[in-house]
Amino acid sequence: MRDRQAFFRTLILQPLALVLLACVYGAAPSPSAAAEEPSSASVGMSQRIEDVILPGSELQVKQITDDDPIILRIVSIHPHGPDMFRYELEYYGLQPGEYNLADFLERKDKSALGELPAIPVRIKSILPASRVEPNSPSATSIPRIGGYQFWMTIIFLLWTVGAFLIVFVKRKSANETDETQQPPPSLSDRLQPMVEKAIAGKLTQTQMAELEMMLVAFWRKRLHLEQTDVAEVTRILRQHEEAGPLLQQLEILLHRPDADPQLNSPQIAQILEPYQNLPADALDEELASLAT
Amino acid sequence: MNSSAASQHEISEEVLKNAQFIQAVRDQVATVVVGQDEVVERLLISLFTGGHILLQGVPGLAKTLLVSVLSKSIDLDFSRIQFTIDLLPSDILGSQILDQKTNEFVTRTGPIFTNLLLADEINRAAPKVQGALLEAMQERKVTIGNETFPLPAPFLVIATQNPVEQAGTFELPEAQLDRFMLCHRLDYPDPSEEREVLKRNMALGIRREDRGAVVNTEFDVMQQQPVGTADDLVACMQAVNDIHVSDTFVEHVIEVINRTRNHPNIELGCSPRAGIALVKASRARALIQGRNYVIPEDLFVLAEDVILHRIRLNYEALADGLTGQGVLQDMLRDLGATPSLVGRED
Repeated sequence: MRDRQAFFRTLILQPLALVLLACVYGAAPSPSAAAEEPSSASVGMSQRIEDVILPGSELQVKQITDDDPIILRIVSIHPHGPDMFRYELEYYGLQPGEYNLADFLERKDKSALGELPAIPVRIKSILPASRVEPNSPSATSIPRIGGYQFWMTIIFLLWTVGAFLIVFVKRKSANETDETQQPPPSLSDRLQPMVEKAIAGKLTQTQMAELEMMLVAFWRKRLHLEQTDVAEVTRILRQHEEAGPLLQQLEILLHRPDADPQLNSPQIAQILEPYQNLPADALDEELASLAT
Repeated sequence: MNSSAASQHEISEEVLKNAQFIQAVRDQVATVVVGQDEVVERLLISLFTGGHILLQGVPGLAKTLLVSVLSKSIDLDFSRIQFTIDLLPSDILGSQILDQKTNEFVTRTGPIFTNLLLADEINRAAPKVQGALLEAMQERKVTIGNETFPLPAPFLVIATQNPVEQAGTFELPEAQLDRFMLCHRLDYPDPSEEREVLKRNMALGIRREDRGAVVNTEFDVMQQQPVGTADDLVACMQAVNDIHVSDTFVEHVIEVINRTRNHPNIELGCSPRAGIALVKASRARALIQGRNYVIPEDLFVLAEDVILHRIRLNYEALADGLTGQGVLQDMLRDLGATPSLVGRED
């Protein structure tokens, strides 16, 4: 049991104690550390020094003048044993060189400063001594937009070709359609054979109905009633000296309860006789254009 | 031609009885309402065929007066309902209320139980109210609670729509518009009629009432004496049913209906109901005009009233600023001028 305790003390506790001692020693503040390794900073850049222990009564920063190369500020003050204070200082230099911050301090109670350990700092200059301003940024060329221009050109070309194809193909197909499709027959083209078939008694009921409407359309055009209300047109036509008897006879033959178009073929022939040899130019161009 | 002349003589005798009654009604209406002969004709067409009618026109064109005097002339019941946004179906159809004496529910029928119902500004009511009315129009019966009540005969709805004020209204959809046999657009009276209206109005005078007097209205001076009976009406309805419709006329109707379905400017063409309405209305017009057969003129005169509210223009036509009336007129002008759309049998 004793051997085990001795082994534990020798191999574990003693090295651990040594490591702890070394840590504590390393972490402890040293008044002389600042003096040995002076703090440094670039011109205009602030730097901070912590745990500066200075003897005597409390210190403060002297009145700053325009010529002072260092701007010093006391960040915090803490008592440190009898007749000593621990300071945290912040400074930044306006001119390069080596300075002692203690030169910029004075006693708060206006007593003599006495012997103070030096607080050396070094202000370095990044610029050469002859330069007072940094270099202007070097001029760089604007990045090229070659990709954008390239794609825009491609798109424009494609669009032009596409538009050309659409117009060309559409026109071609329209021409083909025009060639294949016959214009619908005009009213004069249709009226003549219908009248002949009606006289011959070969019209169906549907065709007879269409013929009746064709005759109304014919007279409407002939009397220039194209824009008149259709209901009004029929009233006008019934009173017309030529169209009226035609419509009334058609009414008797087609719409009365005792009407039978098949039996009344001679009457139909008689009614439609004036329209049998109707010259093609009897219908004006307006009539033909209406039919198309 | 002798046979035709003989038949024409028979026609005159048959139609004469009804023509006298129709003329008496028109004269009675004319004593109160100036002009509006077209509207009176349309109302008679609706009455003789049992088809409901929608009147479109700005307020003040004597629509209520017209329907009121018509009902008085034929001794029919008349109700008027002003459609508003807060109207409920039960306000029209009726409802069951609790009788506190007997502690039982009693059915109280609504104003729809009448012969002539003026549904004023039908587009102001909510769709469910419109739906209730249009369903009753179609079914001719009303269900309240668990009981079904038949509507009286004749039953005719004369609905009105104000085409100007559309804010806050519920436009009737095409399916519901289709239930109206006719949709007639009322115009302002011409200057001579306007002059007569003003003269008659100035001559209305005042009447003593209580300790003062009130200005008479057209309703006050209206003759309350009917010029016909229910039998006259039934005779007219029967006569309309007997009006001859030729095969040629049927072909015309088919052609017109087909053209609405194939027109490049029309998105929604006419339903078969439109063709039926066109034939019915044409028959009634033929009777009113003193004929016992229809002619193409009947079709042309009634085409706008029967077709216009049943078609819907497509977007391209609307974008081009076309109107339904213009498109329909062009289509009717094309009859005969362009080849028929109905298949031929050569």
